[in-house]
Amino acid sequence: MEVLLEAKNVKKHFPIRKGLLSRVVANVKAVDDVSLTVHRGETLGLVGESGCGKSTLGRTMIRLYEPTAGEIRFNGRDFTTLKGGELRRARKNIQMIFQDPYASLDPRMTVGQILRQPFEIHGLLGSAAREAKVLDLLKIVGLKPSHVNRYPHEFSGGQRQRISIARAIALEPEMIICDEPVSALDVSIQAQILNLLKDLQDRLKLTYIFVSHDLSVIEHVCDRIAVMYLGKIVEVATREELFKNPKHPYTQALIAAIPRVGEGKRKIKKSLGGEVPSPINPPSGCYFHPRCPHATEKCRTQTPKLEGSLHEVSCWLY
Amino acid sequence: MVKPTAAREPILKVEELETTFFLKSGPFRAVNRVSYSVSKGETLGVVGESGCGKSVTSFSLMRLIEQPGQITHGRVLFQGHDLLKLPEKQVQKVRGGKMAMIFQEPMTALNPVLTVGRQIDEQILRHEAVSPEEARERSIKMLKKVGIPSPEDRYSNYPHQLSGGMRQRAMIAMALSCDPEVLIADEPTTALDVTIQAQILELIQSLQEEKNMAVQFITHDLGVISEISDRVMVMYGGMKCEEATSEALFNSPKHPYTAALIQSRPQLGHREHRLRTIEGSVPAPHELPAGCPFQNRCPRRIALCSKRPPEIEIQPGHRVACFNPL
Repeated sequence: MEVLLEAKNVKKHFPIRKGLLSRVVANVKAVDDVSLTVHRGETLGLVGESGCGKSTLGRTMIRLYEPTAGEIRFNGRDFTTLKGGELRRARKNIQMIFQDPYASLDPRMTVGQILRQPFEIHGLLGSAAREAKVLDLLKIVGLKPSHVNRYPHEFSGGQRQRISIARAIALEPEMIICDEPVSALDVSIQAQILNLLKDLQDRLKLTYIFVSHDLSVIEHVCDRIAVMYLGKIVEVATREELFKNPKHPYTQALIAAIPRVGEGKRKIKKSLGGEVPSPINPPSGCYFHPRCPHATEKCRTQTPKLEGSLHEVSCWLY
Repeated sequence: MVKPTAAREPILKVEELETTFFLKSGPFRAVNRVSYSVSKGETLGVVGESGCGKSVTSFSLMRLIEQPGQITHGRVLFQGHDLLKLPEKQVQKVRGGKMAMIFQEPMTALNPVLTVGRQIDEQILRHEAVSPEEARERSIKMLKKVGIPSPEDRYSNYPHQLSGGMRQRAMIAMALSCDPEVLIADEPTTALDVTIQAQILELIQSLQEEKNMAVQFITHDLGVISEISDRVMVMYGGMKCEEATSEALFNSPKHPYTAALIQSRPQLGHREHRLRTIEGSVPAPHELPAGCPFQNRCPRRIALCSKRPPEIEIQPGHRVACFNPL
């Protein structure tokens, strides 16, 4: 399979500054030495709990955040060193959909203006062709031509997410990073948006990075899944493999914590005690060891590496 | 562990509850003649999408509806009294005392400028004749009980100094400080991560068992509701559309809306290329049709649906409000 995007040892640290001279007193290690490949046409899921760095990693991949260290290659080219016009042209190929369609659409622009903007920025098409393209985009995502002159506040959450999707596919990108695209939506609307994303993938041969905290959604849409904990990837495997044979104790706990529908009332047992430690001052050794039921002395002192060929896991148990 | 619900005595009984918001666009019935009951030691799950009236229902029970909203009909029977008829003074005694509530976002429900301990003290002092020292002791005991480590230190922390999970625990400690008989939990785990969610659900369940509390658990999450509830009530457009045991509701739903809702959710191990969807979206207040609120999106609609469907008992304990049930 052809590799479309490759991240090598990517780090994203946010400095914490204090005092009169704004000296850096600590770093939030939001993404801490992550390597990952995404193949053309697949959907790669990034899953983990709040603060694990999944969204930061997604944003760093398209350089919405500049990586602190590491290399990102897109289509074989180093994406991290591109500047100005070159970066702009390269970004045409990677688009993003955000969680909150209320915040990611400019409230003072009509839908038409929002959808015309990508073409204006990149100087593509004449004005008549742009108008036609905008109407075409609306149709593709299931909105009406009459919606073109309306403002975002006139739409429901699901419809707004459709507008964001139309904007993301406008320039026919090769890859879209979907950052919790259905988390803010009601269940019945979630299904509509997930179906739309799937149809668009088939039709436009898109590659997705799908960021979500919801394992049921991740299982539904993803071909391969990377589980993150405290800025690191702890396990990567295909969907079938990960759910059938989860190896990392954290992945096992996450899967065990998913509520099951239709099995009636049961005695709920927590699958994991404690809370996620601070990424400013992460634990020694394996970051998961303070909450891990299998932790040994080695886990407290030595950091495991992500290893394996098809099913990668970063844990001293294996 | 699930005891037969029929044998239990209902402790809270809601009859024909109706709450209306008098908006500029006209009156909107957020809760439209809803009846149900909850028994001691039982969990009633209330599920539905945004705007279905599930939260307004619980706010109505506690008489926490503000202008332009008003409870326009019905009775809420608790300990032999109709809460809707009691003078405000007496309702205040019940609220936070024998009937307590926890909310989705403890950051907004807790007072940011008072320490967590002080807020629990206040609740105890308001409802019971104890000295401030006794109240403090009890607050610390409650914090310990809900699994907050080093409760003596946490007692003097402000809400922002606690994590989301710990704040939710603190709110549970506050709600349970006066031994309520009914706990209303409004999306208490929605803002939490799955592993923390499991911790909080385990906590609520074990406290419920210990105190034999009745719990009304409101959420939009079908998985959570399925696991925690003895019985489940589904709401849509301000009305109750179905009620059954958790097992019956999720395995043989009778209302077309319930069935569609269950099928539209991705489920582990049942992967299909496309999810079933419900056409359109939840109608806005002024768009609600007369009669069955779901008729415009319903695949089983018949002519009768323009009238309000009566609630029928399709099997013992399984009630559905639909003219053409599955």
